[in-house]
Amino acid sequence: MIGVTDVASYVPGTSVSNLERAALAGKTPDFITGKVGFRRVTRKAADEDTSDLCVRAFEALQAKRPLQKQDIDCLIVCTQNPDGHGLPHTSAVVHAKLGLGQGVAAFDISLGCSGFVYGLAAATAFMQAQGLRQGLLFTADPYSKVLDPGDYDTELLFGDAAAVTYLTDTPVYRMLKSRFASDGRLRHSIQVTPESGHLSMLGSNVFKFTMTVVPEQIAACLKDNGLSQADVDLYLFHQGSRFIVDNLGRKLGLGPAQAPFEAAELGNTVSSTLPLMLERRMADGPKRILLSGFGVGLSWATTVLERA
Amino acid sequence: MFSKDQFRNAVIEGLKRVRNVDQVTIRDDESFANIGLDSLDGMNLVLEVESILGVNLGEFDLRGANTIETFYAKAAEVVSQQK
Repeated sequence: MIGVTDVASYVPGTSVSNLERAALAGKTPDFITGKVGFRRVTRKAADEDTSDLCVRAFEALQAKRPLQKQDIDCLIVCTQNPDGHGLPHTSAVVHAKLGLGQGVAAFDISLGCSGFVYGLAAATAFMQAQGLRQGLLFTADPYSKVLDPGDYDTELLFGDAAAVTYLTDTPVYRMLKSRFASDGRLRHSIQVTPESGHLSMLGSNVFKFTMTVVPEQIAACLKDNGLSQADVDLYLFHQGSRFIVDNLGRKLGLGPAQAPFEAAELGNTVSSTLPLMLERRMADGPKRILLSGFGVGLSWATTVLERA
Repeated sequence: MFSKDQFRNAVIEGLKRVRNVDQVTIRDDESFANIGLDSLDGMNLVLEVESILGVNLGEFDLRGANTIETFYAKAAEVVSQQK
């Protein structure tokens, strides 16, 4: 059974203080810390591309757990902000930069905040079906490429980071049954507009969708797995903002210890928020962790990881 | 469809829930910001009012409807267009 063996990440060293620019953004410091939640948002260097973030994450994995590159047989990059215009696919660029051999299945997945759960399901099922044994699932979606510096509704939210999830047939966490959903009718809620090339977001749409369909999906996923809410030790929600995480937790009757907000110094790093939180639990995490990612599309996905 | 009184009561109840207080006093023409509601609380208020009245206001944004009076007018228009 293919599952998660390790997670490593790369967070750029540069970040921008939201508190220092609160007045400029027309926000109070209390609003920044208590509602937005992100005191700082990370920013990649101008000369770092999406593939470079992936390479740095892989180097962090290598530092923890030296891998034989010839043993890697699957490489997936989840991003909507690829190198160049996405042609060639970023996974091919990463493949070259890592110096991997030809016997590697490499492809991209285009998803945003639901991308880690989708990616995990696609990667594990693909590897299982094809008899592959060692895979790398990268999440790297540097929104700084598409942010309008003058739009504080988005500029204060998003940070850059990358994570790599190492998948093998001797996992620490295996994936239980998952739920996936989409509503393309609301795709305009989070989009890069062709006219500006910048990200625009309808916050009220995103909030409403998160507070309505996501709790329903979480309940359905628990039911599919024959679990009650109390059977899950930890709930890791996509870190869209403190407001989103706190309200989702409240709606489900979960406190901050069960459904934590951990991105105050990072920002919303899109498909990397979940693996960044999972990384901290790989050594001694609890028996069952529920992961729920939701956003661009609109798209949402929920799964439960169980310690193998 | 809901009457203005029903809507006002729903907003008052929604404000209590959003602000986690027992009592809220607000005039129909007083801005929600005036009683301490920020833009994100406003999103929560819309959800609470939808839940209390049993309606779906669709892609509703409270911006431009920041009093009970204007919120009611905008919500009533949305609901009437759904029929």
